Amino acid sequence: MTERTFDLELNELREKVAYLAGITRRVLDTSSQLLTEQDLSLRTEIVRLEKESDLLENGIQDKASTLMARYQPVAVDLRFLLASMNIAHELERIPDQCLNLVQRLEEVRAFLPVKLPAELYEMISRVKEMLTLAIEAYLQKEDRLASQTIGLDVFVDDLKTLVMNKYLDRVNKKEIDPPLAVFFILLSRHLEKIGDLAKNMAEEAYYLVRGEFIKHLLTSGSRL
Amino acid sequence: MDKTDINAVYKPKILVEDLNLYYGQKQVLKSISLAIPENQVTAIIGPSGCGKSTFIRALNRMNDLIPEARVEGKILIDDENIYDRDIDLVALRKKVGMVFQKPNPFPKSIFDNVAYGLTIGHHRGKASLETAVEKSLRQAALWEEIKDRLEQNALKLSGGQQQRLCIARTLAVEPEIILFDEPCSAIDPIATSKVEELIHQLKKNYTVVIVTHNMQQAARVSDFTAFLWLGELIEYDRTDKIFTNPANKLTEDYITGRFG
Repeated sequence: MTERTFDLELNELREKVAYLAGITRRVLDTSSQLLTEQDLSLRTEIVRLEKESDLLENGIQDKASTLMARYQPVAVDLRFLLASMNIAHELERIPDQCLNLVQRLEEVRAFLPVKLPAELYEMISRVKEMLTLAIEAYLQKEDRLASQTIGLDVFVDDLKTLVMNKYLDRVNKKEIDPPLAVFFILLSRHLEKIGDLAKNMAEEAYYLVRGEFIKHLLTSGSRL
Repeated sequence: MDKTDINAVYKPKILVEDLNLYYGQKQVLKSISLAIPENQVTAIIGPSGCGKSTFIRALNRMNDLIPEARVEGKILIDDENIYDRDIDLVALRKKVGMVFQKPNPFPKSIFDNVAYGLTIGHHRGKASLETAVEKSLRQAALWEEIKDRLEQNALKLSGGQQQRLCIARTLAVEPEIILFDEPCSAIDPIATSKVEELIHQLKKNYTVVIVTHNMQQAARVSDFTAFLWLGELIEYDRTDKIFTNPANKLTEDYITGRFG
């Protein structure tokens, strides 16, 4: 049987979200390279990709709302459209956070190069993994991957707390220049926010697959 | 949500227990059990030939008019089995009114159409009759449109107005349950929206069961939805659950148009 027009449209939307996810991933990779190499020339590329992600998100919202109006979808189709719109929104916010990372680095330009704490490298690695898992959960309609993403967020949150406590303590002991300590703490907050956005995406993917809202529920215990 | 769950939250008006219905050798309803809650709108959906209309017609024994129809099981309305031998069919059909697919007004005046059921076997005074007709036409959201031309032939009304007139005619005999068998399939979208709005209003005082082929209509007007397939009840649940996260793959395939 020939594929229905509506299914083709849904698939087209899915590809648009996948493309936006690819752009977002490139922004995150470039941002982590910028932090690691402390190469501010990469800023131009990040700004360009951030603008592209804005336009892509608009295109996704427009297409999804048009499909809703034209086909009045229900059940899994409705959940797919809602999840796609919400995931696109979360994806678009990740480049915004990446721009914040760039700005933080520019603010400590006088101190460069600085050695980043190991915890921040760990956070970068974790949020990249979360982003990959969350988008795969959506694309493959895999609630298991969504649950895995949500579980990882706890580690990222803990790492942020660790960085904050560690560098506040070192400031109090006058072991570090305060601007540098603030720089590390702010980086950890931006990375933690990226983790939150990936977690939100995973919650949307979970809703898509299972039809259950799990936002604002505790992630510990047997819920997932 | 099974029958027990619905009963726990809503008072059932109609209890269908292991209903089987045959036309001659052919079984068209297979072991259907469900509880239809009072003062709620319950939609019956399913593909053509799944038994929707047969099911709804079983609720006021309209199938009795088909010589080969045979029923097993029970349908309890207010705890009384409507298939008991001593049931009063006239009283049953007064209690369980029905609105059909195509508007079917009598070739009489608007007034007489509504008054018809009230005058059969009863002698009511003119004033009492006028009050009852007005009340029914108001309930059917038609009064303001036709109050100045009650003596006009009902067949001159638009299709949507004719359907609301038929609803008024049904309401006039003060039923407790109203069955709608695809009430909007022969009327335009504006008239459809008026009938749907009316159904929302009616559930305050009546228990409503509606058969519809229009998924969006079922989603808009009903509180509960039952999905029938090949004479079987596949899923019965709250409408919001059915249309966002149905439990059964068949239901999902049907409501998303991927059936077959």
